[in-house]
Amino acid sequence: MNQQHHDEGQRLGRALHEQVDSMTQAPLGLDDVRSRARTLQRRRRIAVGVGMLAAAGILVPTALVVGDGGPGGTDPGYATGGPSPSVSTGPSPTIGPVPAPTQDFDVSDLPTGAAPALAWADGLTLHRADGSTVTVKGVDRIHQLAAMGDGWVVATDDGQGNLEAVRLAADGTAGDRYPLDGDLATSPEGQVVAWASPTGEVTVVQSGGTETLTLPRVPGAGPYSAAAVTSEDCVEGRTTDAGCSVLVTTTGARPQTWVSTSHGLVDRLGGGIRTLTAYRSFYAGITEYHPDLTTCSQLQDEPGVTRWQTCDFRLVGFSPDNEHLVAVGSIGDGFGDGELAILDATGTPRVHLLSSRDSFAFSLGQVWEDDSHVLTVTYQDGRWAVVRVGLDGSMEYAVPPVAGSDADRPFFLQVR
Amino acid sequence: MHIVADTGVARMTTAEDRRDAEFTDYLRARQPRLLRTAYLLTGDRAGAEDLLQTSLAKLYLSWDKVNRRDSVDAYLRRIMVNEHHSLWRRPWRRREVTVDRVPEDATVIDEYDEGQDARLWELVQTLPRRQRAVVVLRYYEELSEAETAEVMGCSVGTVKSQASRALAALRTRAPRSLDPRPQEDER
Repeated sequence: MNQQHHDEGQRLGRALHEQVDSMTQAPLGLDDVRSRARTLQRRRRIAVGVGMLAAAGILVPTALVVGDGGPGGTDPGYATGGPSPSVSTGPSPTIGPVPAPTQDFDVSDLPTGAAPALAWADGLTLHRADGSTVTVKGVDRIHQLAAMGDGWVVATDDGQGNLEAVRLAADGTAGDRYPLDGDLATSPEGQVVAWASPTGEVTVVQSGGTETLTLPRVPGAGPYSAAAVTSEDCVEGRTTDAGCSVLVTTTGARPQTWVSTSHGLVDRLGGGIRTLTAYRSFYAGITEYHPDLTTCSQLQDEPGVTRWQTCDFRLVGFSPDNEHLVAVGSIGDGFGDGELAILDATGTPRVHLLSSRDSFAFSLGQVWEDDSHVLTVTYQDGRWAVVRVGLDGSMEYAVPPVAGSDADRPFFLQVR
Repeated sequence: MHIVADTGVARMTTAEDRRDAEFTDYLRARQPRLLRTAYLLTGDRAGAEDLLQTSLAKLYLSWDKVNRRDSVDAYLRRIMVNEHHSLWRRPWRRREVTVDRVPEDATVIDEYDEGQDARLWELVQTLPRRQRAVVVLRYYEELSEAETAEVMGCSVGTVKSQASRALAALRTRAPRSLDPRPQEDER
């Protein structure tokens, strides 16, 4: 450090002391801290469900749930560091140890490739996968985006902190509004979009927005968040295999994943997965929550049949060919998703990117673009971008960087 | 759990009781200083209390794991900095945060007067969050570059570059306010 920096630093320090040295208050007591801790635990349980990709669910045969108790015996509560509550008959291999990061997640200077091959939002401009755009009318901001036929469903807010799901026509004009809690979820082919309300009601919209159905309310304490829709038509009896299920996570004192079906029943998703975080033929979700906000997750071939487990990552989504998963750090707290990994289906990290050390690059939301590429919104050095990450760790811009405040995220990728 | 005899009445003291007692002592001893740091990070009192409450809650949840009690402050600083940066992940929540005043980030102040501290503080609030955090940790908390890097979760080189950029930005906008000489002349 040269002398000028030293002197200027000292001058700056005096100015900062001048601002705060008169503050001698201690406004917080233990009760305040404990109250916030309980809120954090509830929030964390729901937050780990963010970024859900398209999913389908198979019910574990249990009885119809009545109230919050339901089948399944006692709630296991928080894990205390003991064995994972796998319900498979044999021991579940734990992957790891995680190898050293293979590369830094520095997205400050990348080549620019093709635009995203899926829908995405840039502020209030919606981009279709074919490159055409529409401007949203009647919504002030977008927090999530789901494409449905020619139309859209977006998550926004009313300016008072209340989330809303809003249907948009093909020309971007806002239509019906619904109270929203948590995330939007889509069916595997994107024909159905579902969400939960702050009171647990489940709504699905399909057929390009022409059909809206209400599925049974999810029991248990909120917050609620839709996680997945199982099939492309929720209207019972239209075809022999019509009907769908919507998987919804709840938190409160008991993190759970519920299945609300168009048959009119609600049941728990079994298999020890408390918060489903990904599905595409296989199930992936969180099985353990720890008081320090770390988690453990499992990949299950079917509910209760565990393939492997990890306490290093949260499993965000399967590639369309089911060969890989994109994952982020176990906690996902602080600066953002500091770790982004691509695992193969055996749990072996194929690409392990560390973002939170030197580059200050952060990954917000990860979506598979195709079998071999993940798209993620990034923020680094005051610039937002959409970055394409290949299975070999190669990176390029799908949307070149734009300057912006870290508080005003411009880009959102289509929920899949 | 162990049993403590108290005037003939057995009273159970649980690990939770002990933790709460320890934590309460920590709150009493350290809260004012922590609140000052939170204020410098957030720029407003309500935001500072909210940031500190959340950070203390996270510390409380991890209290039993913080084995080296002499490092609790460092651990909490890291939580605070991380939590402050993570606020942007909840855009609708951020809109609920109020500020005491809106900084004029385009203003160039080239006069030296008695309001220089306030103006410097105003300009500090316009710095990008990570640069501002480095400024608070290096020049208010007086942490070394290595300690700042540990709190920020970055390299020493990054701390140096962020601090250099911050000083350069402040120097450009208020060249006289950063000049230490007038302050020394007053002594």
